[in-house]
Amino acid sequence: MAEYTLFETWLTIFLAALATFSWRFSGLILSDYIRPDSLLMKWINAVAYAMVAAVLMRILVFPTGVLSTTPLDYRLACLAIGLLLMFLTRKLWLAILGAMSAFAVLVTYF
Amino acid sequence: MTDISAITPRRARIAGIIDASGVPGIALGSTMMGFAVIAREAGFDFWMTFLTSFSVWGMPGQVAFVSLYATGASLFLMFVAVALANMRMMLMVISGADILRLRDSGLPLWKRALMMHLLAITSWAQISYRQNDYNPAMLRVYYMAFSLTIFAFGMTGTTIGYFLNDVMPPEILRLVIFITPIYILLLLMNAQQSVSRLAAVLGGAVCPFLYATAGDWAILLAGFLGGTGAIAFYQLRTYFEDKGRLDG
Repeated sequence: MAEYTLFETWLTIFLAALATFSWRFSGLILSDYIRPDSLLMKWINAVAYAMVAAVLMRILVFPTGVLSTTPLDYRLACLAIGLLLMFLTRKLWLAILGAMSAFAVLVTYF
Repeated sequence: MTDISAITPRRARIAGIIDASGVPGIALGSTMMGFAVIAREAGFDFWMTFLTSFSVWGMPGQVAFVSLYATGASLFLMFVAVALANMRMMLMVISGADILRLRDSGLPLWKRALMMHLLAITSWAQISYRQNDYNPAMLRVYYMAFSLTIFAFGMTGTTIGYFLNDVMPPEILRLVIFITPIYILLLLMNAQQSVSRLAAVLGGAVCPFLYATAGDWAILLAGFLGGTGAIAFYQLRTYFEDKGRLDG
């Protein structure tokens, strides 16, 4: 277990908050200088999309904690089911429901 | 499609609360529940866990933080790790501030900063998805209602996760935790612009392969490659279409 003093522990929380807030604040300041319809803004938006998808794929493929007790095949298969349902029905809630139900059945009964 | 100029602040606020109270709230609440479980294992007391969710409000950074805390890492290393894990915040805020037209909002800096503190993947993806349904002023009202609601869900999830992880069977917990990646990935694939969808597909597809060699850098790399690839594809397509039109 960690050997930090109480002061150090609270300091680390402050630092963690500062580390995150600095990015948010720089983003806010920078957004004033980037023209909305410029290619740079389109690029930033596309990178944000790709990065968010990457974060979630990391969680899905290499989970930590309790999700790692489920087989990778099941997780990927349920993502595929969700995507398929969404392209067929164009309904987000139905796709989520389908993927989650499939996952519940797979991990519980197989 | 309803007339968007007729939407009142009250209606935008209620719509934000209702939209957040379904899948988004549950997904975020369960993610924070998962975080609280890890934080408790790392030796955090309840208030430390609560304050971390409250003040950082960025899941990957929070997980990196408590994981390193458990290993007894130096304060400097923790600071750098959290900063790296949450670097994407900057791009999300630039994009989010643009969608919400914060520059033209006339709001003081501290208010805008507070609004952006509430920005999470969920709320960013949501306003991106809803941006054409409201005018900028009403979108900001919608965003605040939506973000505060999922924030409440997130803090509730943190609290429940900390105290109830002993009574919640792992068989249920893992189902709940699976909601977040599924929900966000499907929401991204619902983006209005095809370039955003292509970026998400490319970034999501390359990340697992890069992760094996690059570790958590894979997220930044995949974002850069996916975003740049998608933009390049559409720029080239426009270029060749224009060229074809001129030549033909």
